[in-house]
Amino acid sequence: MNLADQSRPDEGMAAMAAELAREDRVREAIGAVLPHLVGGEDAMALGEEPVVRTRATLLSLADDLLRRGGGTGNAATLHQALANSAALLAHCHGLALETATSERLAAAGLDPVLSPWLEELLGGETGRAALAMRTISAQARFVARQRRMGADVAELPAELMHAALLALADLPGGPGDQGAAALRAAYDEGRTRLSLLAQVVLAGSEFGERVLDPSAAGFALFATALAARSGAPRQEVLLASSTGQEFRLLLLMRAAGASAEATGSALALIHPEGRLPGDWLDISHEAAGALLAGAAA
Amino acid sequence: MSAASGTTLAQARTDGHGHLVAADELLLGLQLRCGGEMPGPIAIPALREAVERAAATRLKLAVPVTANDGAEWVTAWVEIEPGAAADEGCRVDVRQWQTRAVPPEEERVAARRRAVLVRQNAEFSARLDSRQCVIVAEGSAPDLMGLAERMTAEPGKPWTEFVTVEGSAHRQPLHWRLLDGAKVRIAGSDRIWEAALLPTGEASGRDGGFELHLVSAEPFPAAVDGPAVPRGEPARMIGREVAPVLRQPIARIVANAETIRSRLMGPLAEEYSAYAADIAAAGQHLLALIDDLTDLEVVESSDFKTSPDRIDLAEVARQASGILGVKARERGIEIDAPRHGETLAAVAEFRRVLQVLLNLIGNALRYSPDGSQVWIRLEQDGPFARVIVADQGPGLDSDQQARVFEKFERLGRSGDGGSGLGLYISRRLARAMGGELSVESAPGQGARFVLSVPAAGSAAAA
Repeated sequence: MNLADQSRPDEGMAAMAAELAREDRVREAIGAVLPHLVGGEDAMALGEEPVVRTRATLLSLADDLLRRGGGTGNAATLHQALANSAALLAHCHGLALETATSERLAAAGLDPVLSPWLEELLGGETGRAALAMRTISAQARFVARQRRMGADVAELPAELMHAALLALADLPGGPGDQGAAALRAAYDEGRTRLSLLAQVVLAGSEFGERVLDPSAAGFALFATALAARSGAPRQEVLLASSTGQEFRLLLLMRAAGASAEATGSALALIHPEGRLPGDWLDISHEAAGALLAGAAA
Repeated sequence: MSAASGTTLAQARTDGHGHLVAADELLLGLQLRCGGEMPGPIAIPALREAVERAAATRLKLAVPVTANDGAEWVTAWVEIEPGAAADEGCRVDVRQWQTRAVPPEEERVAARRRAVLVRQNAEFSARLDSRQCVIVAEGSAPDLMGLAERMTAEPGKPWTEFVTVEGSAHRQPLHWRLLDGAKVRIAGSDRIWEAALLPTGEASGRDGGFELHLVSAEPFPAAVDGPAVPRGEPARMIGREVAPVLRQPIARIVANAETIRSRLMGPLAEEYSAYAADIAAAGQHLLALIDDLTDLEVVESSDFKTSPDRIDLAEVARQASGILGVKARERGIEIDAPRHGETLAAVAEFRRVLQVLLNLIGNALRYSPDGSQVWIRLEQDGPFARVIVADQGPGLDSDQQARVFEKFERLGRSGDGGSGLGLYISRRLARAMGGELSVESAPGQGARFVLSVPAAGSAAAA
């Protein structure tokens, strides 16, 4: 538009202010993000691999949505729409971090799919054995797909599925409401990996503190259990498990009621660099919860 | 109890308005215990939220639902499938169901917090034995003094005989859990009281007794007795009637700030604890100021008289130094008080002399260097008995000595919590008792404050 002979100057000013504000947001983000990207300390969460994985997962989600929804529409446009949802972006970033951490633990000998705890459930009562089996296959599919940097839209939690379907329905030239409706009807949150993990944690509540032992539960179950016990979102646990976020993991463990020993051994496994003073493990459960709540506020 | 996975343990249906219209026993029971009915709105908050979400997104959800039905925590895994049409309602399948009692730890923490609050706000407290009979009783509110006296006069009787428990005609105490929190009426008080019974010694397994505390939601009504003050009196700083009304809320602010400062109610960041300490200190200062202003009004009124009695000045001095002993030790100052056995008989009002000495010794502690000494000496000089409080502080020049007994005189000091009224009030008190308060000092030599009152048997005492 020609701003020089703008007939409604207010509107022109508003558009200019909005554009300037958008550019300012990018400029402000540069100062905060660039040092981490270029590789100072704490680079893990913003490292090249998680960032690339996040982008790839989102692209794969967009492809999957279009393919299942009817095949028309521009994947790049949908990808942009999905990336505008902070919750979806955070979810994909969390999955990227989960993969990075469990690959790191796999190198140390911890199976990303099958854990001692799941094996125990497999050998137990039929109902729980079936649940364990479904969980193991969902986890195996997840690990294989992540290694190919792929994603399955049917694996999204319900709120994010809802957001993704709204984006699909609004896509210019896309399948519209009809394509979204078919996906909606086929969705069953109870069959998603994250839901299955949560069901296993609930079913195994008599295992007590052992669910907070990553070497017994496996990292995926551990993250779900720690989130459930501490009241934090699972995404928080995944972030706290990435390099340089050791103290937050300690606080989450203590806030979840884990003993100092259990906290110590989980930290030793996930953060082997061990930068923290040993007596920090003795922080009270209440104080840990208060610190976390203060940090969140 | 725990049941797991795969199979459906219970089913339920909701209608298009989110009301529960059909439910198996497991879910129905929880709905009823949470205060709901069927058909009716879902009374289990987490389930209601999940059903609303499923209806809004038209997605089949699988979520854990946690609810507290009063006796236990229930955690259920539920799957919620919205119907094909938007107004059709949802189907609810329960896949897992676990219950656990509310953990004793939570109960104990809650009980401890309540005990702190009750003790702090109680205006009357008594110790009871295991049969709820009174051992000792003490009241701090004017309208409960009578109750404390009646109980103290007849120890060993159940506390319920001294009060009227609303809604109960029992003379014998009921089980303590039934009386805990009961509304109580007391002869001599117009207020309604709540009784709190805290078992003691339970943790040690002994058959302990109880602490009885009485708490009221209403403050003690402002006293309106006493003759109206005639016109022409000195301008009033603060009403004698207003002071107790002011004291109570400030005392509560101080008590609550102390609770926050000491982190009794839970963890707290260091700086907030420090803020609470500031609030408590400021409140204490306000209380002291109210005391001073009330005293000022009293000593300035034309009808002010003391009630002289035969007292032992040595004993008053020992009491005053005992009261300020902790403050002195904090500063490493030694108070050299009259020895036991030493006596000096005088005719004066005990609590007024004590008030003057507390003021003099308090000043000496405030303005003396750490690790110094404060001496309290007694002497009889003809018709007068004297108490001398001497310190090793900076001392006063003659100009300061002339001004130090004036009203609101601070000698240029500020910010140390003083009101500039203490010495003025003290001198008025000394003179009202037929005595005098004076100072001898030189800069760098410390100060000697001399309180003279009539000696026993002297003409001045007559």
